[in-house]
Amino acid sequence: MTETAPWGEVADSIEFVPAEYSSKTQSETAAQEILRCDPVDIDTLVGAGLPFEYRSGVRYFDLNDLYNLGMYSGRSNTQPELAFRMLFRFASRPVERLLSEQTWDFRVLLECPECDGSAPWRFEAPDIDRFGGRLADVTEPRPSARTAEYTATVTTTGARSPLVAPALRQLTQDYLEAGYRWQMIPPAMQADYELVHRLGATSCIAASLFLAERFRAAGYRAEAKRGWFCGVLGGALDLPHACVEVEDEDGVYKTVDIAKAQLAARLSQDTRDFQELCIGSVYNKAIPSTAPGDAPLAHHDCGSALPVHVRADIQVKR
Amino acid sequence: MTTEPIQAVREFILERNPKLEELPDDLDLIDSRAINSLAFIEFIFLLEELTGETVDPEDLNLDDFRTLKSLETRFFAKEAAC
Repeated sequence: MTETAPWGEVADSIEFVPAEYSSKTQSETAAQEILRCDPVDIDTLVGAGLPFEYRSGVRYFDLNDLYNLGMYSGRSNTQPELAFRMLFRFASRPVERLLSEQTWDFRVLLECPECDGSAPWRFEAPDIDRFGGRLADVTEPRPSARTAEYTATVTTTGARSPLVAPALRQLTQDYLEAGYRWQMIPPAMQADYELVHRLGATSCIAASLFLAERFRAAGYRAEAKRGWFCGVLGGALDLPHACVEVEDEDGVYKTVDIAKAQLAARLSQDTRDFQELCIGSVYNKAIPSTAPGDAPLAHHDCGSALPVHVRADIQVKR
Repeated sequence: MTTEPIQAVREFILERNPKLEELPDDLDLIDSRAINSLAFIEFIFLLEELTGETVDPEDLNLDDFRTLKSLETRFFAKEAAC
């Protein structure tokens, strides 16, 4: 695609979120703002297949679809392009900064939409000890209605521990070279990782589930684990995160942050050291949790069928 | 001189919130959603342009962005003192 492809071509290059996973919450005005485009461009996108719903005479769109259109528009001024350019600045810097100890004020707000009343919460907490980090000042969510909070001080640290097993390295390389296209995808759909990859797309959770399965098929103990990516604009953007944990042939558990490696390569040319760090080593901007890759981070026992919203605010401790 | 950059900030927010008739100095820009999570990035690029300094996304404290007052203190006070 050329740098300034018409919006219709951009739409053709995107795998829109299938209806069963789609949540159309963004108004036409919001869509114009996200994509920095005109009403006529929105008409073009709709004509090219951008799914929408009419509510009270207004068209509403899925945020993931808008994000992906912006990411791959080549226009340089859409909000998603600006967001990822900002987020991945760190990946071009000396990786030593990612290997030192870093302490975070970790706060997660849990919200149960259409809550059926006070009940206990189950939260998949940070699980950092295994990788040299530590937890302190933990406040667990108490039984309540609608909202609750988990807070802690989390110290992360990095370590160079690249994958050593040739089979693991080859499977990882094969995945990176397979041409899957990174997209923003709703977490529930990411768990359906076979569908995501059938569409030629990828994302951190889907990629981790997929790669973990390949590692297991090759005879290694491996599991995709969810977690958090730190330093994301003071919690202003909440991005899902997951990586693969695999027991290497040297007996050491390694983390493979496959989607970050792929995304860094796409967004910034000068990230080779960071990409290598993603292939087995641990770095101080990621906090693993106790949640498996395809499991929610929180549950409220009130009986509501709707999933709990989990919003993290992770800031450098000052 | 603080008037010009903070005025540019004010115009940025008002342009994106046509329903806002005025922008009090102490309005919580985050909680009121005057700056939402996506516009937040554009806003940071605007601040970089106005201050001539690069913002490290890891060092951001949302409290610095809550009001026009806190923005002025965090990003423009140094210029005011010059």
